[in-house]
Amino acid sequence: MSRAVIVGGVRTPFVKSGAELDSTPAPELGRLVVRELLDRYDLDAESVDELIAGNVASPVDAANVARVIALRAGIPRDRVAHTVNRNCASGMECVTEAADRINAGLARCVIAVGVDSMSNIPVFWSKTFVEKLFAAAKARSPWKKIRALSRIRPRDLVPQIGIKLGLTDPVTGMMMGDTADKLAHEYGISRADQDQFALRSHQRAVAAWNRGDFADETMTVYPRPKSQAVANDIGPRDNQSLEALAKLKPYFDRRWGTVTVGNACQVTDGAVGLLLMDADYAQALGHTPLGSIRSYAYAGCDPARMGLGPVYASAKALAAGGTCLENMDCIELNEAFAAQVLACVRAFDSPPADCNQATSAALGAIDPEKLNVKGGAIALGHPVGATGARLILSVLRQLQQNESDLGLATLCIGGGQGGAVVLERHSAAA
Amino acid sequence: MSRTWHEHDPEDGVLLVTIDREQRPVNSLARSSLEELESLLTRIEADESIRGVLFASGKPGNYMAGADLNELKNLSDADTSLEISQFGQRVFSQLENLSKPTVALIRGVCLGGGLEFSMACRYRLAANDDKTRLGLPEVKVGLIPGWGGTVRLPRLVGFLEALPLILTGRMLNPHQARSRGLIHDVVPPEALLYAGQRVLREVALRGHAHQLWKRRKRPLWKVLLENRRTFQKFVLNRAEKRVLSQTHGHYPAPLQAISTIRQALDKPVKEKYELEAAAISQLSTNAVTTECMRLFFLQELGKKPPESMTVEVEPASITRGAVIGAGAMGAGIAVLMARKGIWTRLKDLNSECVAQGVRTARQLIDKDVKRRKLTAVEGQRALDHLSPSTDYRGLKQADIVVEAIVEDLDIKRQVFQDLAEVVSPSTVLATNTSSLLVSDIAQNVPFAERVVGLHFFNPPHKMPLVEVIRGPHSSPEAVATAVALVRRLGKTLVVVGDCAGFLVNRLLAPYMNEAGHLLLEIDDPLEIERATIQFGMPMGPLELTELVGLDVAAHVAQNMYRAYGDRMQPARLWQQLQLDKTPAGGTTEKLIVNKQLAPLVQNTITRLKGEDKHKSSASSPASRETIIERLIYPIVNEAARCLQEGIVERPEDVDLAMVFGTGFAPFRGGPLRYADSVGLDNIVQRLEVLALEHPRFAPSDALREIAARGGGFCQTPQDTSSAAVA
Repeated sequence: MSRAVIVGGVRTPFVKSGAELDSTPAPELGRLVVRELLDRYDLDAESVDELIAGNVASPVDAANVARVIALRAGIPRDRVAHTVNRNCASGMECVTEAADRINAGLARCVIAVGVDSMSNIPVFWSKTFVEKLFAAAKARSPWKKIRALSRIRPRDLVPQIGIKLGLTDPVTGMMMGDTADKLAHEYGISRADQDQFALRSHQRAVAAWNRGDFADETMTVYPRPKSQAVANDIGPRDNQSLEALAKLKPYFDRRWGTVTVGNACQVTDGAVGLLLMDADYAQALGHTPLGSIRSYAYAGCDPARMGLGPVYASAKALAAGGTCLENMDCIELNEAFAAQVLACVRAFDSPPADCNQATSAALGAIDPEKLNVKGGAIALGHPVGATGARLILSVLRQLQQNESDLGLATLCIGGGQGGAVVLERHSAAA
Repeated sequence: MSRTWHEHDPEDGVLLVTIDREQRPVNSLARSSLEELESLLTRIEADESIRGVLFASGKPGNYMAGADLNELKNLSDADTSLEISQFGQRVFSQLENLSKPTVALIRGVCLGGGLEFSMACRYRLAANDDKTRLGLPEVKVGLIPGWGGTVRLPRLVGFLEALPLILTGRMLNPHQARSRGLIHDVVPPEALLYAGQRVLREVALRGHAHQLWKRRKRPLWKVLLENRRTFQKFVLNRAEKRVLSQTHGHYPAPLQAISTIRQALDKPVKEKYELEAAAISQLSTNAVTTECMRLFFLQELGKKPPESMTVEVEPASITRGAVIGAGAMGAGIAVLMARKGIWTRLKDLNSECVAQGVRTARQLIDKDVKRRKLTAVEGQRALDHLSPSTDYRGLKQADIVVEAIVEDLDIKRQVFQDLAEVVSPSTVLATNTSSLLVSDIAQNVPFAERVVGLHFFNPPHKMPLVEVIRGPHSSPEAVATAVALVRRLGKTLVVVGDCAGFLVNRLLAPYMNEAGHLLLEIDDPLEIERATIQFGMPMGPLELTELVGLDVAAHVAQNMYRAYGDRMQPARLWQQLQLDKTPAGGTTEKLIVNKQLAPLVQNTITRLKGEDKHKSSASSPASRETIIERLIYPIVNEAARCLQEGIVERPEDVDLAMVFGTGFAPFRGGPLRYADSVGLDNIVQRLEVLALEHPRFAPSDALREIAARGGGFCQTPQDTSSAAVA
């Protein structure tokens, strides 16, 4: 029976949208990490069977971004590639799917890429404006053309911001930040607690960079147009202070909300690549894997409380892995919003009523010292389709560093889901 | 007799003829092929059942390469070449006047006689692929189009567009050809046959096929202006002046083309053809044509691995490589590799250096995209093949690693030892050194047999030559891999032995030193620049030094002196200039400003001359002839040594390397061919006389030996079957 292992991974620096990577679209970001994987792991592109990409923003010029990445990175054209979308968990989905395919004996070597360029989410014209333009184009005589064009009103010209649409849940009509404000109120999480957590995220990320913890996890990129080296995440702020955070106005619910841009994750560009192989194949090629997936689960929940997704998913994943939260040596819980993380921390301790009783027993209190020890998305940023893969890579590298055995990577998913992966370190004996 | 034209069974009155010259790699037109075409056309004309003819190529990537140069190069007498030109004109006229429609389905290169053939067809469709190119490159071998090209091309594309195509031999891609009206339409390659059949169907229906494509509209002003005699004469005069200023009258072919077209202006078509044929017969006996053709064959030879090589590596087998050093040279080489689809790791010490390399690479590619030499997609594909790095990861799978770092033996040695640890034992390690010995760099490197030299010239994307250096330890496999890389890059190669300066710089050193001596002896230093340019060099020694940079030039000169002793003692002028130049001047110190000596040069020369006055007699006014003798004969002298030492195997390699590496007067065929034309005995004698005053001129034993043997350096050029462009 084959068993999937994660041989290794690399990511681009995560860069705030509209900054250094804004001329580097998703296919290019993905190509960069795949090429670097092939180079770092001395892998012949011939040995890659498949490439799976997680991506949310779906570049309009690369509908199946996975295929574009694969071909541009030199993966032979007779191999397959497809793109998966589970919203915020797309980067996790591509990894779990890659592992499934290897475990099912369908592939020996799969590259999983989580990638999103949120700088390149387009801005649209309104539907009414487009209709009027088409009407003008169809008009037969110049006079009719002018008449058709004259029907355009100023409000038709208001652009539709793609990223705003993407971050709104169409079922409840709430923006993601609104769901976080809801949890803050329901769980009684104060603005001060949220800001404190955000500050901690920055401090931990900066400290990790200063220790050099990220140096080998990231690659240096030389993005157009200036081709200057970008080696570090652009997001963590070493001069972040509580005072500065406190000055920010609530962003979503401007009157009664507590969620600000300072205690929410950053909108970011980035890509993460993970190399997965069948254990025997990895050994044959002389690789020592980082670790493997012990179990994973996705779970549904109330879209208006999507931030609690990790609670439901983790319960399921931990139970499936025959283990419990207590055994986890490190936990990466994605910081979509400080309020949402803090709500999850409480809910892990006392699960909500609608959480499956059989599995929720696997949950328990989260030790803050094991949670997001190198900072999270509030500091590093959250390139939606890439984050899931980053969490997995972070847990595996943390286990490796601590020489501990089990870890949990989990995140909330817009639309009311959660994803969780229980990871175990590869021990020489295994 | 090997056939060229293969008829298929006519289908529905359409005859498909496949052009596929048997036993030849490309479709070239020999006399026999033309005879075959003649009888084919006669049969077609007579056959009632045929209503149209399609001409397609049976060779991938090659439609028709033109006249068979192997036949042409032996045409030393004017009458035979006159006859073959007239014969071709007659056959192509027969094709043009065929009562049935003909379509040339052009896929692959369509050059010279091939394009002249296509222009005689009634319709021309070209495949939309990157192998398809059209042009009349006859001038490049010292000829002009001789089968009606000078008549039909202006008719098709207009006077203004035709002239540069004939005078420069420039090749067009299908879209450029279409926009000029040279072809009727561009067609996807797989649709070519279908398109041809449709054209014939339309002709059968309506008598023409023009509604199948958008008609090219020439601007009215162009049409009106172009057909005015006075304007045409004005354009011809301008072109003539330009050719003269660029070639200094050394190349008769473009001038002949201009005068032929000028004379033909008012003549009826029949006389136009006669003038064309007469020009061909005149050119074919010209010495320059012989040299150009020989160089063409040499270059073909330089694209192949040398015959003496026992191992051959297929260029296509090189898929992964790396370049160490992301400076202008390293990045340039990396781009060459990436463009050819080699996955290339570009490594330098730190991210600033790498960033600079990435920037250089993008600039090179972006420029070519802007100039439409590459499509945007091709440009992206090239850059996708580059992966920058600051560490040695990603080299294990490399077939070859090219080192292009600073010229410092200790640093280079360190890099090679580091490399030896990270690459696989079969990876070839190549150094792009210009002044160090490959054997010195390879010292102490584990598996030193995989170390070779690859000397690219600066800038690598422009310079056509690469010296492959076989060190004393280099294995045949390693040399073969390096040769394969150079072939993959489309460069001309010469395999040389390991010695200071290798071949090109070693031969250039005495020339540059002598220029330094002469500059101090002569009254008007610029006379040397003029004399060398008149001789046919692309630039004078001062300008060349400026291009290379004083520091580099001085460094190389010192190296040569160390290696070869007194005969290469650096001229005082160059050393003094290096000392005198402003330190802030950097590498690009100007030596010539507005065609005058820069003050720096003027002052240094005056000062050094003043010092000399005390010692020796007044400066001798050198004639241009003496200048050339003193500059060129030492090259010949040194080349003889190289041949004797086995640095190069064949004298042809010397000519090839000097012409493509330094631009040595191509129409003279290179230094050795030139020496042969002067006579080796004369050169030895002259050197002996010069040596009385300066021992550095003393003719080498090697040169004396070759001169005594008689017959000169070079034999007749070798036979290559693939060659055909005229």
